[in-house]
Amino acid sequence: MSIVINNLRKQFGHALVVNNVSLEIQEGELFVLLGASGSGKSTILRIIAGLLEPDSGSVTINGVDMTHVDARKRNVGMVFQNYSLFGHLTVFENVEFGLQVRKLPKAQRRNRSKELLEAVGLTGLGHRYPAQLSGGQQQRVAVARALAYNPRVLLMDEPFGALDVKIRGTLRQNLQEIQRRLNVTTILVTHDQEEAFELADRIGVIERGQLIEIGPPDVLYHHPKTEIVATFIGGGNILVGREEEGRIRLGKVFLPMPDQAPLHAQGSPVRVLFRPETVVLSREAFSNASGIYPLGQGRVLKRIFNGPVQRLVLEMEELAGVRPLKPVPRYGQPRTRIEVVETTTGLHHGARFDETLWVGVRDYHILEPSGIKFLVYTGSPERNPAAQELALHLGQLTRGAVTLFSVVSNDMEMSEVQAEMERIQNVWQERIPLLTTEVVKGERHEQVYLKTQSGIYDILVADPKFTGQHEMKPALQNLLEETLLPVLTVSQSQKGILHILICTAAGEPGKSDVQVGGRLAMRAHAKATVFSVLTSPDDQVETRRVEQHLEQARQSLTGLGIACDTRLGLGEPMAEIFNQAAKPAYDLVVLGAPLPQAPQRIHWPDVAQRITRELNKPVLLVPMMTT
Amino acid sequence: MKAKSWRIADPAGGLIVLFTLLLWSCGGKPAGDKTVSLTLGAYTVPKEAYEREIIPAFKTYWQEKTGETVTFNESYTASGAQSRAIASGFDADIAALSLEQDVQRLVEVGLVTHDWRATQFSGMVTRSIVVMAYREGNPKRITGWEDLTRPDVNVIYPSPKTSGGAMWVVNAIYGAALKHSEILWGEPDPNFAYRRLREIQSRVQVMDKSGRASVTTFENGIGDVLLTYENEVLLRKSQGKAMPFLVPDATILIENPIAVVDKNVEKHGNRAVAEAFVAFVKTASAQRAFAQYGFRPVDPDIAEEFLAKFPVPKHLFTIQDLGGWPQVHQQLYAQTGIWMQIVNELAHQ
Amino acid sequence: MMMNNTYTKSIPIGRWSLIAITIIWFLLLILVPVGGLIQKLLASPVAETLQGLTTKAAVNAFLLTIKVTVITILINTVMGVLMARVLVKQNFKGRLLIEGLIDLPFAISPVVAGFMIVILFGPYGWLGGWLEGMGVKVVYSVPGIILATIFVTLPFVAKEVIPVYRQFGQQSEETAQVMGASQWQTFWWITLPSIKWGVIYGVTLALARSLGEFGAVLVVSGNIIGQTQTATLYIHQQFTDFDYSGAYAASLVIAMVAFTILIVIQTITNRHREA
Repeated sequence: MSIVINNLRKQFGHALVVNNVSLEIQEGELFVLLGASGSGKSTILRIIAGLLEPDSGSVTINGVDMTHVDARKRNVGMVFQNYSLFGHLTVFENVEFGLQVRKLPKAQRRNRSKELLEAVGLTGLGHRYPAQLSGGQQQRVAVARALAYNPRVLLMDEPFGALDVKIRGTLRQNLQEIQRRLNVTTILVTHDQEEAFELADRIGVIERGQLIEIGPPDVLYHHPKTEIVATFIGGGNILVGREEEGRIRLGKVFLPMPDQAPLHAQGSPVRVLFRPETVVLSREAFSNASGIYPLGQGRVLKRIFNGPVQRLVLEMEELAGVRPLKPVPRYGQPRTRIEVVETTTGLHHGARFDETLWVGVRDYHILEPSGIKFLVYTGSPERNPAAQELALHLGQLTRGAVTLFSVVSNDMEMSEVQAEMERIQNVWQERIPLLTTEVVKGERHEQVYLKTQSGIYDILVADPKFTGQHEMKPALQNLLEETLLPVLTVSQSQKGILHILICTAAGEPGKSDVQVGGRLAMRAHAKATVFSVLTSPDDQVETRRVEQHLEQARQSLTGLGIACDTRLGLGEPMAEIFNQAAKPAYDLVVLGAPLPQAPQRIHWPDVAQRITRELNKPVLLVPMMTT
Repeated sequence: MKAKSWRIADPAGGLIVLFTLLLWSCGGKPAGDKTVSLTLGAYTVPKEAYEREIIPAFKTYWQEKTGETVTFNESYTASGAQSRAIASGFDADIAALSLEQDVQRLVEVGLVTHDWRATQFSGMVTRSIVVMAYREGNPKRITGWEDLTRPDVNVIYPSPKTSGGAMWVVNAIYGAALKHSEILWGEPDPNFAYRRLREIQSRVQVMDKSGRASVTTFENGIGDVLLTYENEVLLRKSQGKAMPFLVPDATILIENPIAVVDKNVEKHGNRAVAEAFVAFVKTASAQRAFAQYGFRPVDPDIAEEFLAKFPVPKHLFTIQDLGGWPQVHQQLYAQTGIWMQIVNELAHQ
Repeated sequence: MMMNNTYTKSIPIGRWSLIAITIIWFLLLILVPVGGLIQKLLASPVAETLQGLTTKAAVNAFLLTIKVTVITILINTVMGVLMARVLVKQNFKGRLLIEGLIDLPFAISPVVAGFMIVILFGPYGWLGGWLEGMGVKVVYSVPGIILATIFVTLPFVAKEVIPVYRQFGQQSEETAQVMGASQWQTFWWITLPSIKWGVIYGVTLALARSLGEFGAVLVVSGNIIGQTQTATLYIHQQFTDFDYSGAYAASLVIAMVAFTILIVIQTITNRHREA
């Protein structure tokens, strides 16, 4: 085992950049850390190199604990993103630098550097200066330089990023050859998924500082576990169907549940992934013997010709009970769309625009089940069981995950709260399989914030008193801004929700309030009412806009399978919203909370406060961001 | 070409070079057998006299007398600045300054502990007087103090604010006026003196920061009359830049002190040489040398010898006649002093 | 041929007048006064001038100036680079304050700086008394002059190096670090070359300044002829002694020395640039 990373953690100020990452890399392996910008992958690399010390965790190279060892003693080779060649030294001198430091005699150094330059294909350029080389040549010098002193490990930080697409291919091949020949353990960091696929023996997908999945490229491609990995790598279609008697119901059809698929509760949603190239289109219906799983019929909406292949977007017929996850449905889009890639062996064999065809899949993959993930803050001194109870009920109802999170200030409290947590766990574990509890010591707001960053939560549930004794507004506002999580404030306990009121305004940025509210309603099998306020009924343009907005919302929600209607209020928004919320039919109110930079039509903290205090109804505040 | 020069692989070598340089900078003291060193802190005016005549003569004298070689460290700066420098630590063995108060300062800080005024000639080494220099051909027909009050005459002299020696000039104006009033009306009239001083001051175009500077200004064509020290004019004459001048009938006697700085000679262990030097400059030959350079001797016998060169003004007065330095200071140059007030008034016109 | 004509004719009047103004400005401020100096000098006989330049006082003054300049430059270069390194790499409280204070010597009049040094290092000063007790004379001696000159030229190297270091130094240093280079190796082989130009510019400025320093040295030196009289002090002395030709000659020598050094540095940097 060449490199072992254990529970690596690194925090910069408020941001948890590396969050509990553990990896084992084999000797001679070419391991790729794949992630978007800012995912923390470069930081991990720097920690392995020794340029950064982790807050906790360890790095072991070839059995030796290197966590606190200075970079210079680790004997690793590194290729930086911009190569970082020494401008005042020739190519030879650059490559020989590591050897010079190791006090190798001149003649030997020169021989070695000549060898390496030949290996990377730069023979004869030894006496040039970096400024006289092209980007691709510079990169190769950087590689030669890193390998010169036979390091145990080669680290590469987006080494192909700055190069032309044309050279990248050649250089990748070159690198792979060298790596295989030298058998040097290599960690390459990149955001380019194509690159990862081409070069890696194994890929580790990093998102927001966490290692989501590891595996060889083909496994990750064909059998990803999470939605994130599935959508990161390659195009894909993800449709959500429902478990029924051991099979998957997807609209009118049934798909068999594969043996190795993750366990799904009865009747729970099932996420089905199938790649565009596994979709089969035909002008005739599929026979049972064809081995193809039919989905139904679809109409070609878009066609992009790419030479040997063409990409198509099809709009499927009505797939009842099916929710498309990917491609992400557009706001107001009524039907499922899927992406298809097919070869164009002779134009008349490929599909044409607006054609209606039979659609089937050759192969598909089931992702792990997901539900709404609730993060519940139950802390002293405002330990109010209302929030906790509602969250637990919702968790059970939506078959989601609930994390009970408590912050204490001293050890005595700690043991008290831990005991309580255990009790709750025992009671609820059966009903909520994905229930976890955690107690930490520290400052309330900070700890809650950190917790929201450390996982992928959908809703934060809190007692309104958490947000400040009397000052609900600023604390809540900060919380929303910082965590960008919808916050559910609960003052009185409830056993569930039957009818949700979604207050939305036309013209506000984003549609998250409808989407989040809708998701909750759907999962809780609740009804929804979309409510909007018209301030100037005489204004024709405004009226049309608001009505259109409501109609779109209704369509989206109906598409999710929710019984939905709309209401229009006339007059002053805050009063109207309050009045509507006061109606006994509603169990939960959803409000959009635009971030300060966006235009604000109502002063939502005030409304939220009133509803929670006076009406004792839970309020879900959704941060509105333009996506 | 380039990279090699930076590969000085041994940084320690660099540090050694640095330290050596630092030590070099400290300047080694010449370790001589039979050599003694003497540091002279003087004002600028007598530089030529000391440098060219007095010091070489003393060196020979001492060599013959004791067999010791004397090396001199000489510093010539404005008298006030030099006095302050010595007071703040410049270790001059001998202070030869322009004003007695500049030496008195050294007494106050405890550097000069003996009664220097009790030495020969009351501690003075040279004398001079305040004179009036004018343009070739005397176009403005300058004959005396009264002419300086004419509106068509521009006067130049250094500023007492910046140059201690410049106070001599203003003292001369004031004292001469007192003398005139005494001659005219039997008693010195301060009001008259005040008016005369005011009128002359109002004719002043430029007040330079030192005596030398005002000579330069005058030579550059500014002003009709220059009030300065006689030795300056004579020095210029010896340098080939003669300017016509007259000795006023009433003017002040300038006396320049010299003193051994006790604290420093004790530190250096060269008291004998220092005291010998102070005595030396008051000997006949030294006094004659000073006379060559335009300084009036303090030795009355030598003064006799040079009477032709240095005529004695009819109404020569001293600082004592004006009441002594402290009183003059209070009367003329303090914030409430007459001269200061005049200058402020004229500035606000 | 036709092209040439149209080319030269098409340079606008505006640009020509701008060039003309710049050249005239340069002439008036720099060349004409220096020319005047040369002319005054040529007015006196050569022999006399040479004699004036070769007196013990003059020669010692030049030597002293050179000595002081060399030492000052060396110390300031080392300390300037060191300061830049610390300020760029370490993050400590008050770092920004110190970085701002580096410019302080610019803001303080050199004469005031000289006084500060006398107060601190004079025999009755805080540090001075202690040092004199150990036999080290600072004020009114050559070390004092060096100290004063170091003070007034302190910001030059540091200020030039800091931005260059920030830009290039850190990244290269990390690279060298990963490759196994020790702190010293990194500094000598990688950092210094990458901040080379900053150092050179800073040194050039410091050099020119220290050759011409007057005010602080006047206060601090005691003006002892042949010992603590630098070239600038010597020139001042000659001037007040009415030895104008001596003053002009010495001024011209210093000007020539500074000019030569600047030309040499300029040539070297130009040759480097082109290479």
